[in-house]
Parts: sequence; C-alpha cells; structure tokens
Amino acid sequence: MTRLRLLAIILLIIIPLLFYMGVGAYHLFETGWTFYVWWPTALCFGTAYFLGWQVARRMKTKTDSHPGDPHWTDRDQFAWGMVQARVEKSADLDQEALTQPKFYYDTAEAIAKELSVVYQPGASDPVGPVTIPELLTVIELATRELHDRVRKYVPGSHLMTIDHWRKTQKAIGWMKHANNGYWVVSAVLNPVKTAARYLAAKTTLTPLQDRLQRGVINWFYAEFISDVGRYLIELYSGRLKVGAEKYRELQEQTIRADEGGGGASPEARPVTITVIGQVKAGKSSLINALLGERKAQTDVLPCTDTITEYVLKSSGLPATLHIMDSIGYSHEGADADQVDKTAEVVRQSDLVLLVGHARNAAKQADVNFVGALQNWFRTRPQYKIPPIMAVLTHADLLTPAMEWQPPYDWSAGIRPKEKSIRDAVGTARESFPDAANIVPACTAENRQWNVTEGVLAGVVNLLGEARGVAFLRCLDESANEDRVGKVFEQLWSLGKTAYTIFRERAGK
Amino acid sequence: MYPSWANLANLFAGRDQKFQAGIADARHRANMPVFWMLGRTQTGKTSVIHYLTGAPEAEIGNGFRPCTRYSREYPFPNPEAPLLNFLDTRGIDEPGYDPAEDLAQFNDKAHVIVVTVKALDHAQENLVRNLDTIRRAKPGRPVLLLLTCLHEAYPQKQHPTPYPFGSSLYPPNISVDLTRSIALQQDRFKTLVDDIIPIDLTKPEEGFAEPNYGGDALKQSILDHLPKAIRQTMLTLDAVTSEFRDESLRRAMPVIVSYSTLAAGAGAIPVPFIDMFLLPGIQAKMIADLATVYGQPLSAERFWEIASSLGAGVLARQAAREAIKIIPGVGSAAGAALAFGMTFALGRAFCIYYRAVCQGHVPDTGTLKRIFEEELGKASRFWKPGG
Repeated sequence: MTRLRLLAIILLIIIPLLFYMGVGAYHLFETGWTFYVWWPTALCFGTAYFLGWQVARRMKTKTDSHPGDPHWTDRDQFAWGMVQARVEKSADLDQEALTQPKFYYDTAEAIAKELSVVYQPGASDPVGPVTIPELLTVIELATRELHDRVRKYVPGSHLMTIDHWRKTQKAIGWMKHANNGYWVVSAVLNPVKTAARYLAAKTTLTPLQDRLQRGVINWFYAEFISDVGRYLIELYSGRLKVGAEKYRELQEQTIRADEGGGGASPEARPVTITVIGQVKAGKSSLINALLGERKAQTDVLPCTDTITEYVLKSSGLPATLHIMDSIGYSHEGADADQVDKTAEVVRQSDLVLLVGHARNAAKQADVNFVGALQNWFRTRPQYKIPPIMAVLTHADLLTPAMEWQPPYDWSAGIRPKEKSIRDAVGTARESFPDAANIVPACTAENRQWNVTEGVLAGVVNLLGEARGVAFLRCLDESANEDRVGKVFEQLWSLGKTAYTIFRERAGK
Repeated sequence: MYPSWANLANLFAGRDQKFQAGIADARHRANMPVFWMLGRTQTGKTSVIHYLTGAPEAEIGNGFRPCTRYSREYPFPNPEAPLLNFLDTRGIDEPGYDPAEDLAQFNDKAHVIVVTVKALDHAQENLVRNLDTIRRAKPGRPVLLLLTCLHEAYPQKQHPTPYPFGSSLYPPNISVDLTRSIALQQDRFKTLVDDIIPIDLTKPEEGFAEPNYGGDALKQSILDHLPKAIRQTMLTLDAVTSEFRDESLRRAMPVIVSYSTLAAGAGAIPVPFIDMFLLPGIQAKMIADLATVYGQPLSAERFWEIASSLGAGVLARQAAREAIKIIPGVGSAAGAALAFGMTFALGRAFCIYYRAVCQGHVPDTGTLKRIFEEELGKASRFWKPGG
C-alpha cells in the first residue's frame, strides 16, 4: 500500500516534467534547433563520461592496491599476491557469469585449492586437514565483511533483492532496445541529421552505460575474491583455530584499536616494545628520555642486569606502550642465560628498538643478535618478526664533537654536524638493511634532541605493523591455551547426551 | 762510475734472487719496530698511527694491505723499506675470531701490542678473551692499553689542562664518571696490560684546543717499553720529524730515514762486501721514491748525472768500511753507522738539490759534494747504534 502511494507521488511529480520534455523536444524539432541544442548536451555527456571513467578507475585501483593485513608474514604476502592476480584478471571475465551465484561458489573453491598449495606444499590433498568449524569461520568472516562493504558502498543496497541484481543486467538490455527504437523512428523523420547524431551518441552514451554497470559488478566480484582470499590465508595459517568470534575480538583489540582516532581506547591492547643494544649503548637513557622522567637507572658503568618494564601512557599516543629495558650484550659479565632471556623477551615483543652508539661503528654484536632473531623467525613462518627500529644515540659526540646546537636537520642540512649525523645513519643502514627505520638522537639529560619528534614519532609510525605482530602472537597463544579445554568440553557434552539417551532407553 | 743508477732501483722489483734475499736480511737487521694494534673499530687506531708517523689518515687507510683473514698491515713509509710496521687485527671483535692464525704470523714479529679501548666503552667481551690468548703466547711482550675518546665523558667541554694523567690514572681534577670508568677498565685489563695511557687524539675539525691530548705520554710509554735494540728507529723518526717543519720535507724525511735504516741493516750484515752489492740498489730506490714524493720523477735522473761525481769518495769509504767489518764485534756496528750516514746524506743532498732546481739554479758538482759531506756529519746525530 505504501509502495503504491509512493509511486503515485513520484508519478505526479514526474508526469508534468515528462510532458514538458516531450513538448520541448517537439518544439526544438519543429524549429530545427535540435541541431544547436545537441552540442551543449554532448558536452555534458562527454564530461559525465570522463568523470564516470575516473570513478570506475579509482574503484579498480582501490581493490588492486590492497596491501594485505599488517600482521601477515612473508608466506601470507605471497599467497595474497596470488589472490591479487585473480582480482586483476576479473576485468576480462564474462559479465553474464558474474551474475550467477554458482560462479562465486566455484571461484571460492578454486582459490581455496590454489592457496592450499602454498601452505601445504607437496600434500596430496592439501584441503583435507582443514576442520569444518574453520571452514565455517572463513565463510562467516568473509560474508560479514562483504555485507558491511556492500551496505556502505552500494547505494540502496538494503532494498536490493537477488531479483533486482539479475534485473540490473536486463534493465540495461531494455534500455538499449528502447534506444534503438528511438533511432529508427528519428531516422524515418529526418535521415541526414539522425545519422550524424547517432554516430555522436554511440561514441559517448553507450560506453558510459556499459562502464557504470561493469564497475559495480566487477567491484563486487573483486571484493568477494579479496575477502575469501584473505580469510583463506588466515585459515591456512592456522589463525582461525580460535573461532570467528574470538578472532574478531582480538582483531578489535590489536589491529583496529587505533582506527577510532584520538587517545588509546581502554580496551586496546598495549604495544610491547623491547629496547636492545650493546652494554652502555644508552638503552636506559633512551627510555628515560621517552618517559620524560628519570625512571630507569643509568650510570657511566654497565648497570642494567635485569629486564625491567616501564609503561608509557599519553593522551597523544594511540596506544599504551610497554617498554622493556633489556640487558646489554657484549659484556664479559653478562652470561649466556641473560642473553637468552633478552632474546626471549624480544621474540615476545611487538616492536624492537635497537640502540647503538652513533660514534661506534663496531656493530658486529648487534648484527649477530639481529641475525639470530631473523633466523629464529625464518624457521617459524607462522610468526612475523617484529619491526626493528634502530636508534643512534650520542649524536652530540659526532664530529665536530665540541659543537652541540640543536635542532639539526640531519637528512638535508649542510652543517658539518648534520653531515656527520647523516653519514652515521648511512653506515648504520649498511649494517642493518632490514631495519624499518634508523633515527639519530641525543638522550643525555639537558642535551636531548630528536627523542619525541624522531624516536617516538617513528614508533607511532610502526604501530600498525607492531599491532599485526601482536595480533598473530595473541591468536597463537589463545589457540593453544584453549585447545585442551575445547576437547574436554566437547567430550563432556557428548557424554551428557549419551547418558541421557542411555537413561531414556533404560527407562523404557 | 755509477753507470746505471736508475736501473738499480728496478732491482727491488726485479727477479734477482740474491739481491732480494740480501734485502730481506737487511730489513731483518734494520730493527724495525712492529706494533700490533688491537681494538674494536673506531677506537682510534688510525689516529694513533697518524700521530706516531705523521702520515695523513687517508694515506694510512689506503696503505693498509691485507695479511691474514682478520688482519692487515701498514708498513710506514712504504712496503720496500718500512721504518715502522703496524699490524691491525680488525676481526678482534668478531665472535668467530680465532687468534691462532694471527699468532702464527705475528707472534715472533710484533714487539709491542697496542690495545685501543674507548674509555667509556664497556662492551669488551671479545677483546678481553682474545687479548688473554695473545698475551699467553708471549708473556714478556709489552702490552699498552690506550683509553681513548676521553671527551665522551665530558661532552662539549675542552680537555683539562695540563694533561693530568702523567703520574696517576686518578688525578683530582677529572670528572667522577671518567674516574669510575677508568677504574673499571683498569680492573678488567689489570692482568693483561703493562701500562695504561688515557689519550684523546682528535682531528682538528672536532674543535679541541689540544688535538694530541696525551700524545707525549703515549710516546714516552712506547719508548719505555720498546726493546732497547729497536728503540733507535723511534728516536730517529721523532728527531727528524721534529727538526724539519717544512711540509714536503716532513714527507721526504721518513723516506730518507727508512732507506737509511735499511742501508744500516745491510751494513750490519757481518759478511764483507755483501752490502756493497746491496747499497746502490737501496740508494737508487730511495732517490726514485723521493722523486715521486716531490712529484718529479725526471729530476732523479738529472740528479744522478751530477751525483756520479760523488762516486769516487763514496766508493773509497765503502771499501774502508768493508775492511772494518773484518774486525769482529766492532765491524758490523761501524759498518751499519756508515751505511746509514751515506744513504742519509745522499737523500738529504737530493732534497737540497731539488729545492735549488725549483729556485732556478742547478747546483754544480762541488756544491753537491759539500752538501753531502755536511749531511754525512749530521747523520750521526740521528743514528746511535744499539740505542
């Protein structure tokens, strides 16, 4: 009933306009002005075509350049590359097939097969070992994501039915037929002028219609492939063992925490940062400089012999930072136990700050430590190595040692000190090609430079990646801790059911 | 008299086995001090070499030649007639470093071990371990510990003057941080070293009023610990570099002293007449090298044309020297002194000749002869056999 009324109102508004259009068109035809009026119209259509093409292109690039999730390991990125290749190929697919639901199912199956080879190379039935709840989790997560996106990006999607979807295809077909009919009638009335206009319209109007239609459907298909691919990657990496709900919850806590903007939300998981370096490199001094107060004990002699945790909470920071002060290596007093302890803490952290003396190029011990860390992660492709940011302390001691007049523009400046800092960073870059960032600083009290604007800003920049590392680790932890409990729970309910059946039978 | 002086220089590079063996023997007898430098990179090893030799740091960097897997050497002023030799074990701080290879090569050669450690750097695990092994291989060999980069303890401040560490490592007027750090270093290295010298050799651009802070103490310590026999070279080098302030002379003098010392080594070979065969080659090479230092290879040949007139006198002296050698004990020392003096005088004569030519008048034979005699007299000041 409401629909009928709505239709009536729309018609009552449109009919007079349609009448004007008809009368106007007839008038233009009568006076022979059609020819002159056509040109501005063509200009409008041309502009519309250009804009439509731009929109379509942006939509395409948007899906193409999806970088993958920040917590992904190299193996995941490789698999993601295969998914992306499929997205790119989607533009050449038969448009008719894209409206068939079965096509989507087949595609999902094909992606699953393709990706399983990456994760289970050499297995005869790579898809076999996947559990049913895991597969259901993929479907649940992917469809939910797609659902959110369709609601957000496709206007009027909440009223759209499958029928509509099919009809979109047909509606465009009808429009073409109607168009053709119009041209035939016109041609009878005025053959010469019509021929000219037909040619012009063919080059502008028709491709625009095609493009818009293609854009929406292709976009939907590309999103579908991406979502299924993304969650298949999570599935094969064993990260869906925790179930869809727990997965989403952890994702909210870790990766998505800073998307809300502003300060750290209370439920956001803190980011753990471990500060490592050779003995006396200035780890504790850096921590004090970051905290803005003298909390970590510092001395001219080696003094940190335990791992200490400090908490940095600030309204300007998107997350609470837990900073771990580690034991310096390369010291004859530090035993293997302490070095192992530091390595263990580093493996458990989301971000690593490698502190080195700017004046000391003897970074061999650091290179070895980082190398050992990389090896540890290389043999465990399910984890992602935390990003490493190198901090070169004691920048004030660089040539000329007697001068200290910050601020220094070390990346482009021409003062001798600026050049020295640049050279020191360059040397460090050669030693640590994998470092995410290298920042010079001076952490000495009353000579501080580049701590907030350099080091802290660098940390914030890496938070996205650090959160990815945290997310992976949390998933692994909760999957392992729940596994025994889950089996027990299932056994218990199975036992209960069996007992009920047994009692019922016995009662009879 | 001396028909092919210039060609003699080629003997050095040549295939003449007998000559090469003779030169090697002469080098051995020239008592060249060999310093074995140990320390992490950027602890100031090159600065120490620069301070001791006066050679520009870039030249030192280019002059290093690899000798073992972990080490390189810098013969000063040149590989043919080195006056001082510096062995630099670069790999000392690498965890996989094994000193066995370097010990096999250097243990007999090295006279002094110079360990450089930044005063505030306490990451010395590898260094301490390897130094212990090296020390055990020859416990009697002096080991000097240089605590470098003192200014890092008092950033952007000038060094306390005068140099306070002359008599004690813990003078009253230095910062507490530095004192405590030095104490820890002393404790760490106490059984491994014979002397500890706090030092800060900086480049002029660092802006310190005293760029060679503690340099004198370093030199004194080296002289105190060098074996007597080879102390002489250090003293000679020190004497000539402090006497000649002129820039090109400062570069030429080490060359003259190095070949003269080599000649002295040849002179010390107790077999009569063998150095008569070696000396012309050594002297010819010296003149060729000096000409390169001055950037005028051609001037060497023109010098020989006049210098050949010196020949008669030189030869007569040489013959006398060979006769002395026959007297046991006295002979080789006197022979060495004379060979040093004649080579030294010849080198000095070339420098004076070259300067005169540059000023537009070519000295005649008589003038050159007078110069030669004068310089021969001076040479004894720089050469005191046996230290």
